Amino acid sequence: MSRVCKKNPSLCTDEPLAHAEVWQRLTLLRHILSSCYGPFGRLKQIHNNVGGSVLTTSTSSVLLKAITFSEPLVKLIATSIVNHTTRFSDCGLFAGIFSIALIENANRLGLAAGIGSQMYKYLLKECNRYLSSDGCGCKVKVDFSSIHSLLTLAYSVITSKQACMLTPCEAQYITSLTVQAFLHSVPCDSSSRTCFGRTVTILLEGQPVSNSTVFPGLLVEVHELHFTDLKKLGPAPYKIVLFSTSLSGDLSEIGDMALEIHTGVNPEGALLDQLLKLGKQVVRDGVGLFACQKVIHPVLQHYLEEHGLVVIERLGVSLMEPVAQITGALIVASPYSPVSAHVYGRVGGLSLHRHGPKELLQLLPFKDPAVSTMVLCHRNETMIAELKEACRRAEHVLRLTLKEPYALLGGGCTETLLSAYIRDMSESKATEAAQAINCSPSEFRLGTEAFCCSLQSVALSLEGNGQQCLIDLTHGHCWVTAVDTDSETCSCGLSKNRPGLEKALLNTGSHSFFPAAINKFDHQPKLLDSFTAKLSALNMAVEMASLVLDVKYIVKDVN
Amino acid sequence: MAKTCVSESASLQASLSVVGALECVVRRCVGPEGGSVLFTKDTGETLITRHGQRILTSLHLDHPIARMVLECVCAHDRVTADGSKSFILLLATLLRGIRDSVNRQHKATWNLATPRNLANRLLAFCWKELDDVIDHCVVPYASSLFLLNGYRLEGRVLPALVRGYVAGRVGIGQAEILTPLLCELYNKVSDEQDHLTEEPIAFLNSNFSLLHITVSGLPTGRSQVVEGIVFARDWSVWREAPHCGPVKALIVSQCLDKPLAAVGENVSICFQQDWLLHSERIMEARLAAMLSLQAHVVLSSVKQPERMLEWARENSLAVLECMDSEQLELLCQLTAADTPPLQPMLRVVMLSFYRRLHPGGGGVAQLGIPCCGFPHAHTLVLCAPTAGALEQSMCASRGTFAMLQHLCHAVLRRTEQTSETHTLNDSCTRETERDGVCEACENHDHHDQCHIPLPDQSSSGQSRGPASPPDLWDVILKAGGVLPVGGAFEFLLHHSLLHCCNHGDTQSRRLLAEAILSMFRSLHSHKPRYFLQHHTHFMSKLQIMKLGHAVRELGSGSEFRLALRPEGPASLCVESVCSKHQLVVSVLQCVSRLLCVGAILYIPSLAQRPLTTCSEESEEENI
Repeated sequence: MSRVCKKNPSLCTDEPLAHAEVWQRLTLLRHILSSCYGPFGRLKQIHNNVGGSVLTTSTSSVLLKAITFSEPLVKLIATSIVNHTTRFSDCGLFAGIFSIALIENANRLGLAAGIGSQMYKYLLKECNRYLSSDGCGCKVKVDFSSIHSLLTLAYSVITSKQACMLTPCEAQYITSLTVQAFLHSVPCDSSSRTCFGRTVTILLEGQPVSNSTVFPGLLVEVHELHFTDLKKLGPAPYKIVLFSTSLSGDLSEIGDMALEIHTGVNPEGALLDQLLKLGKQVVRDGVGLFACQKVIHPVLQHYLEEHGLVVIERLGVSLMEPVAQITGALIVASPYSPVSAHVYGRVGGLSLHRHGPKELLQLLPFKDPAVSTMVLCHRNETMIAELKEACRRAEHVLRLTLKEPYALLGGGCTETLLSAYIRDMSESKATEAAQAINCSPSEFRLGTEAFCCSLQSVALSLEGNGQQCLIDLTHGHCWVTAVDTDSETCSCGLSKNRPGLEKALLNTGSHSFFPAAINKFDHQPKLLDSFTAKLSALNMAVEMASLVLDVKYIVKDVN
Repeated sequence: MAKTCVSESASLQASLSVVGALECVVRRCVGPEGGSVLFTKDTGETLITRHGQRILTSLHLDHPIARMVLECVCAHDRVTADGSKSFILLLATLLRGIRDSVNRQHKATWNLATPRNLANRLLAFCWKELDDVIDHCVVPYASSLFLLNGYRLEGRVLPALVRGYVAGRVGIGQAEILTPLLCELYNKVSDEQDHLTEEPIAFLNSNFSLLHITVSGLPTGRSQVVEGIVFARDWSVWREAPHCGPVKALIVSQCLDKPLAAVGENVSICFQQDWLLHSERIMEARLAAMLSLQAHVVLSSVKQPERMLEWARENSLAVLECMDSEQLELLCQLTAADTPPLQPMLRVVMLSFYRRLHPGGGGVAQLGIPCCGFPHAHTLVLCAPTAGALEQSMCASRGTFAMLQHLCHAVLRRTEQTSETHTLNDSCTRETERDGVCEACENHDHHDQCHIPLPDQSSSGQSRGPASPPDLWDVILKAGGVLPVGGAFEFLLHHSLLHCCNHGDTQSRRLLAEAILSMFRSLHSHKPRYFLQHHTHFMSKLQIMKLGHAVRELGSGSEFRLALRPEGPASLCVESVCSKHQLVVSVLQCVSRLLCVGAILYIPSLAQRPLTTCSEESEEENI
């Protein structure tokens, strides 16, 4: 009998942006995001009301995945930030803060939705043009001949993740490890291979951060293996065979067919015989290392060990590809046919490491492998999870530089510089631009104001307790200082303080000026952001703001 | 059990209140200045849309009259893929018009013109006269409007059409990106040739779901058109092509270790010592046979066993598993797949290339199809920050091709009807020459060409030389298939309904004319001056055209703007006349359907009955 459920009519909200409640929630999300931003960002702790695990983080993607939102518009923004970070791993908070600030400012200055999104689109185009032009003041070319810009990029990512709880010294150390792992993952012969190598991460809880290391090759967890076992093998290199199928001798992989078993036939015995036949062949071929993704039958295992082979079982699906990559072995999928000679791979060497409770076997690559293993240590579970995330992100950011070898100034300098440029540009081109996008010059001015304010409010989120954010009126860089004191350099470190350098508080309506270029050879920037990720975040934020401003009606299905 | 809720006299009232409520939702998102509607579900899905039909469907309408309206809207949308929002607006104004005229007549005479009577007369008018009015007053005007060179369509007709359609369905930023992309897709699929048939459009319309993929998390600006067919799956085994140039690919539609016996039947195998090798041997034989075909790629619609992947790795073949079978069918169809002898489960196709694309992170497989004219398959890669926005662009793109197909179909059919003996090109000029006004225009047009250089595309169509074949869109333009958006059709129809005295009865004509104009007026209720200005401007220009003199003034074109949005002709948008025509027809049908309703009977089902009545009934039964 079918049950007919009556569908409830949907709930409608007209003009959602006219409701105070919606604004309150948008503002709340902006507060949450902007208080996480930058090196002085505050941590967020998330726990539910029935106990369970407590999450401490300041990373946008982790945070937004853990929170559930009731307001559809807020949910829309959160989803887009999460989507962005899965693609680019960086600048999620920037995109969120900027996007909500754009919506709020459009409303505060009374811009109509249509005009607002047209203005934003126009100004975004200007930003894109400026950022991709050669004369751009906030762009730095990544110099691959020195390690400095790579270190700076990675350092900026790792220090912005507060929940890692690293001391400055530890942060430096982790940064250098990350860059090292990245360099390992770039293949040497770029002619034939187009893909990156990989970095496998192993987490060790309860050890000091300084125990973290990067190994070339792979580390595989093993049990009950001794140095003597390795000595039996003789000199490197060793032959390796790699199985992806279960060697347990079960009859599990037959499928849907019905089996008719004659009396007197022992299926288990037949299968084991087959496995031992395989073992004999492997021993005859002089294999040193026998690895299997799944379980190996104990009898076979014993047989192999007796003949001096090193056996690794339960390798796991995630390690299969890396092992195949560093050894050049072809994965064997069937135990029933003889192993052909060309599926064997080679291991350059084996060594045993002990890290805390774990016993790890290091497989050294035979040729150029581009595979490395990063062992990360930290004091507790939450911190180590965050540290792993941070390192993964930093490495992704470094990879993005290979596509577009640029970086943007960090520490809010890009935002202030861009806002100064946009303000100056729109002043000079106000009438013709207003005509081009079909609005009045006053509306154009309001739109510019909203856009620049939003950019600066991202920079404003960087200030910590008892600090103030300033913009200098020559270069347009951002200065974060304690009240009534002066700092040596601007927050990205490119501009030096000098007497007579005029400064104004952010978002306090200073006059417009064209940001003058700085001779970049004097100093190296202290903080750098990913160019690709930030450019995409900028575009995405404007798009989301237009989308949200455009929503005139919300229909909520409650079935 | 049934109870009557709406009496006959109140059926107009009921429809009015229902349609009025729908109008409130729909009005927010009409036209380029409208916004969008956000749908959320408790499951967490969100959808942003401006698509009229989707909005109405997602409302889960419960009222029977609302459901009737929705049915009509869906039927209309299936035909034209356009105008479902205008449908509701026109329906509302028309119903209001009927109510007013009924009220007025009640007061003046005691002649009972019931709403139903009026609706039937309107429908009769629609069947008998509306085609004539549009053919003789609107279409010639539309064709002469562009022939006169009053509007210069910078570039082609197609971008203007697409822009007009897309602008009403996605935000401004997205529309700007989508328009050139969709035109690019059309041009590439039709292989850059100016087809005079609707084939490329029909191909795109029917296969759009297979010719696009979506990528979330990237800005919309990263969308692109790529060659070949893209499968939203990564290669299971990836090997680079050994050489550039065509490669052979095998298509497998069955798991390779399945025995050849009928599927679904249980095969019983005697378990003997050599059984293990037996099933292996079947597969070995098949793989060896496949290898002998010397292919580089294996495409499979199902998951293959590990053994097969191992074999592919050994022999340097690329393998793609779990492919969408419909896409695979399209691939076979486009590449003329053939079945090799002795291999019943295999098909062999030639690919021009195979690649691995990385649209933001994950890889997808791209297969190139050897180009031999139309259709040259290309795929649209759509990017957007969230799934909701993605869905919106996807819907707009799909709708564009449906709308274009309807337009092509309608115009080509009409031109064929009007002159069967002449060629397509002749027929459309013939049609325009029927009207006296247009003859003058044509004369002027020739005159005009001497000193004003025309945009290349329209001039190639106009100078009817044998060397320059016209393109499909120019034919449509000449045949009066399109009009500028923003009220041109409404003004024209309103005007011609009022001034063609020899058609139908006056009352229904007047009613329809007023409804059409007031629908347009209500759209511009926030700036009434804009509406009035354009209306008077249009009327004066139309007067000049009717009189047939001072044509030269018209030809100057620069100031001749008819309800244009002020961006000027550079971003001129056009819409198709036939879908507007269909809109009026559908609305009139809907009105007569609504007003035919005499009463609505609610029959409560068993489940909804209150508990007390149930128990009473059971007691009665016991007695």
